[in-house]
Amino acid sequence: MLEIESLCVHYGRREVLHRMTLAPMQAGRVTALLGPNGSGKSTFMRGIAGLVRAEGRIRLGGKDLSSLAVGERSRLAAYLPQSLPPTVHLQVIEAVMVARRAGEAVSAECALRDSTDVLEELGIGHLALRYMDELSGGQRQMVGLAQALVRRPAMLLLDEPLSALDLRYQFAVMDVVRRETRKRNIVTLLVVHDLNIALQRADDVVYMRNGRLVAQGSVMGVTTPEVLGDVYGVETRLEVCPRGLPHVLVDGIIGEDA
Amino acid sequence: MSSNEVKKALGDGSSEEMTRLATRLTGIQTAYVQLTRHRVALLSVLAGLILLSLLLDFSLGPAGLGPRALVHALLNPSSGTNGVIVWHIRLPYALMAILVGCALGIAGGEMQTVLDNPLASPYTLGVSAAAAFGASLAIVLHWHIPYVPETWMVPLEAFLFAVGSACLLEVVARARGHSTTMVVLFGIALVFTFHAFVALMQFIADEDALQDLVFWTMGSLTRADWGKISVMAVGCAVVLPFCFRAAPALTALRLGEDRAASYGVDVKHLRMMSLLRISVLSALAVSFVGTIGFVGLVAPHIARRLLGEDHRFYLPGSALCGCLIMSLASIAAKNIMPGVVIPVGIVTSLVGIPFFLAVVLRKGA
Repeated sequence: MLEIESLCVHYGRREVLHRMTLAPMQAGRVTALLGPNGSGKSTFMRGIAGLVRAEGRIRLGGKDLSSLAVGERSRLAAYLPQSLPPTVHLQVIEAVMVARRAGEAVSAECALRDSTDVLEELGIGHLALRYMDELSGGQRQMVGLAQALVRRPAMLLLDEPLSALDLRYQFAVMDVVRRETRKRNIVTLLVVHDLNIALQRADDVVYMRNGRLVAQGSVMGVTTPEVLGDVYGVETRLEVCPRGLPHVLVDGIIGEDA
Repeated sequence: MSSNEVKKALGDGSSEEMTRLATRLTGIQTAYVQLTRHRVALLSVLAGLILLSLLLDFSLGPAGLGPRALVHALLNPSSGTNGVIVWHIRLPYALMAILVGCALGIAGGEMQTVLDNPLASPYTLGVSAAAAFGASLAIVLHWHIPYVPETWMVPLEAFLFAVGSACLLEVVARARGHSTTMVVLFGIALVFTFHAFVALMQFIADEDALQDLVFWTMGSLTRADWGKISVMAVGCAVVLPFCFRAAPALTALRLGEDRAASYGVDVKHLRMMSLLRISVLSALAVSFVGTIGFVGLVAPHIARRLLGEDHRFYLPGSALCGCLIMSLASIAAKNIMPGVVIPVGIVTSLVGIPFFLAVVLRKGA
């Protein structure tokens, strides 16, 4: 369970996150972090991961993350940055082994075994011996996920894992994230921009605007035209298709005629 | 095999599926072990080529000594002219080429990683330009440091300025949060600044000093002697283990700064220590043999192609490629024009420029 109380982040004198307190986020559930550009979503994730200095209280499974050393914190909370893994001349298996061994005394044999296992679990075992600079964006993002999961974290922090991916890979990555979150019983928090993917694949949502929490709860519980209007400034309708999947339809910008 | 197949194999425990999965897992692991062995073998081949090149470098030269004369002089250091040629010219030059190549190769390899720039080399930092200015002060203005022998003045002042420039760079980089772009831009500024100072020194130098300074900036192994070789060897022996120790963290850094930081790597500390190692290695090399271009750029590229970017192999590979390039350049410098030893810096630049263009054009493509 992830508990966040009064989380503040400053860039210089500018306060980017304003005392954010969230209801506890349960293990085994995927929470999508939504909001317009500049609302502080990435800063929020980086603050939890310890990549920027943050004030407030962050507890994961009862442990105070801010009191942990960098290495121990990075083992508990795996952070996947916005950018795709770069096109380095490393084989996929090596790139995953690097993630397994970085900051931790793990034998090469153990790292090799764990890395092979996680690649197979994600269905990308066939890429293990390919070089990173030969892979497509979607394949590299799957490797990025493998790098995060191979560290056996208690929490996954995924910063826009779907950006730069085609539609098929967006759903493929989300399905893998959901499956692994449940199987490993970990807390997963991810930033996405596509509302419909978030509504269909996440369990919970957190809406942010201007570094402040707007709403938090189950997907269908808190996603309303009013909340979306407040967060994005757009007029929306929420409809459920014949297959039972929720869809957000955007009619226009609030205050402007169509 | 798709994730569903894996899931199914793990879920229903079907022996056929389990066997297939086990074979697959073993296959990847076996292939990785073979790759590792292949890389170790490649490093061994490089080491073998260096030994061969060292032997050639030692054997060939304007004096035209035969194998028997060489062996005799090697076993009898006081055997007249041949003893002097072997012990004071051939061996020091050949060994210095190896050591300088090693220092520049590994410094270039680390620099391309920490600056995330395939065109970075020790010269991007302005270290060699600063060293040239330090040397010019000793050669042109005859600045002397008390209690230091005359023959050590030029390398010592070159070294002090090289390390000083690196310290200045580190201070500025730290003030700006170790931004990669900042480090490169400040390095370029240092290059132009020190080149201007060296040009000023050339302008005010008398004829003899000007000749010495120009020759120094060309880069030559003819300044090598056993004392300098000892200092260079000790420098490499002290610094290299720290480079190899940082290899896993440097590989993580190649995956991106945020990614490395999220794995628990202290990126700022890693980058600072790496710049320090680069400064010491390149300052040592430049101060003893003058400006040697392109080895620090070319060697890491060859190592990357041969060995990939796992820095456990890439860094030793960069060092060995640097050794081999310098040793081959040393052979070429002595044998391109009969009876004349061309400054080795000219040879490395002539070989390096086409390679540099190839890298740039390939990036552009």
